Amino acid sequence: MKEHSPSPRRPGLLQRAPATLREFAARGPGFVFTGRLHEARTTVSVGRLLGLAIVVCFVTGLISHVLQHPPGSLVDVLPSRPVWGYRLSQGLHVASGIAAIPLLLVKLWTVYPRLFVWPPVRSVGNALERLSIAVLVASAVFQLGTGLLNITQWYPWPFSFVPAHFAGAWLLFGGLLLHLAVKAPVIAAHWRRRSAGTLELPAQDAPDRRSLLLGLGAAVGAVTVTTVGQSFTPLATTDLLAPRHPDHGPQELPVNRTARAARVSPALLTDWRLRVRGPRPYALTLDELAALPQHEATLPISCVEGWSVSAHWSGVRVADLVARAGGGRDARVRVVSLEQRGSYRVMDMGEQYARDPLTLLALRLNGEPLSLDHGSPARIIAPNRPGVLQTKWVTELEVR
Amino acid sequence: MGGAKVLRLVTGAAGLAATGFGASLLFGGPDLYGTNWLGPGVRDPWEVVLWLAGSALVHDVLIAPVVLLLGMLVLPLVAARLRGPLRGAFLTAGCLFLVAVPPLFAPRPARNPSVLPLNYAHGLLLSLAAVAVGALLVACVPWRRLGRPRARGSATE
Repeated sequence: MKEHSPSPRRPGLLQRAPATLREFAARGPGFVFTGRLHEARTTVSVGRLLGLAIVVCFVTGLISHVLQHPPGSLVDVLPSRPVWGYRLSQGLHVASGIAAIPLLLVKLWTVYPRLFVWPPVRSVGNALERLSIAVLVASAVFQLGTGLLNITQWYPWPFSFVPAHFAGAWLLFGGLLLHLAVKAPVIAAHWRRRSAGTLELPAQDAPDRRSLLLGLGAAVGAVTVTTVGQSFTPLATTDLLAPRHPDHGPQELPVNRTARAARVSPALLTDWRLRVRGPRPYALTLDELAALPQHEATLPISCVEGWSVSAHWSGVRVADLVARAGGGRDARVRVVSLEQRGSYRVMDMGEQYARDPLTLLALRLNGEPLSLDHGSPARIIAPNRPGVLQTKWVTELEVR
Repeated sequence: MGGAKVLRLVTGAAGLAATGFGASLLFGGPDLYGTNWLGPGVRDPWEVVLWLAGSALVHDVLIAPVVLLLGMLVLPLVAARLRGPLRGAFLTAGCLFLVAVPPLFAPRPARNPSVLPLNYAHGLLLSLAAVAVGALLVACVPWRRLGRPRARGSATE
């Protein structure tokens, strides 16, 4: 039986504080972070899903980048099929980026106590490792944040989005690979339910871990379901939070850049002629174009911002226009727009696109003549290409 | 050296190379790789670095403490078996809120009603309501007992 001794008067806050700090330093962050899931098995279970999302996002992002700025050697190799290729790739890019948000938040939560380990740096190797983690965390939040804002066309930062997002992607991917290499033993030890490290953890945490993973699954499902309808039209009914919706836009198709934004006024369209340059140059008025054999194609506009909607186009085959100008099967086409400024005023099309029978100089959209915002009187529409390269307000084609 | 060790070294080396490439894109100036497929380079790298550092801070100083505080203060208020569903509900609701912030607050471009056309406040409220309903279902339906047949007092079959 314990003796009851008179309890001494508790020392004041000032005298207690250093002891608390000393205790914190000795016991480590676990003293404050009492949640039981700040451990390696939960980290690995969430981490592998996050890693998968980042890899998918990175690869699809690279595809998008190459399609928008192809290296010279690849211009004629870029395929024009499948028709839905870029639609799938860019839809996946935005969807995996959005799905990564809950995954990243939970992953960082599981390892957050390690931010406060004392002493902060134990050796040069430890310092380098912590630095690489800092880059990884910073670039992950940066990529997901800039990406999420970009799809709503909100740019509250002073730098140009595309170069910064591209650089950030390599920092993130590189940081991820380095992290996997450094943590490989820990990952292997906790990969399975029966791995050595997992078995050492208290068994009673398993139901709580499952519950956390279920909640995470619900979060990933919720953010996906409320946004993916902008790329995948069958899910448009649940599209509550995406920046676009397939049912909203003139001629049943959303618009990215209006004529007003591109400074294309109806005045510029009077006496419009399509000039085609090449071995046998010629020019056509709109009526002469409409008199040529018209062809139809059902092709999506797949925007770099992730939304995509399919539409029914009719117009003249670009291959026919090229042949009439004396171009061969391997001809490339340079398209010039009436747009006064902008990085996509001049667009280059490799031979795969140029000779594809589905690539049209479209005059009609969903049964009506092209509206001004959709590129009246003529726009390019090609399969398996980003929306920015489907040039609007075409004024000139050059066969090369 | 075993295969696993080699793989580990190669992965680490690839990671270093990719990070170095990213750093060159960031600091090499807009014309480092010319006008080829890599596109225009970054013009103001230190602005980007500032936003990178700010991103890490936003998580470590803002988001994580808020989450931990919520967990520490709110979860203990409910019965132990309700904490899992409540945590899941907070996580889902929080992520929906984060995803809704850009469409709610982004400036709308002039005269293009196809950009940000929806009523996002309504959309967010509707999704949060769905989360609440879902959480109630998970918490109140006896999922464990659904799989098991009820025990009988005597075998009369």
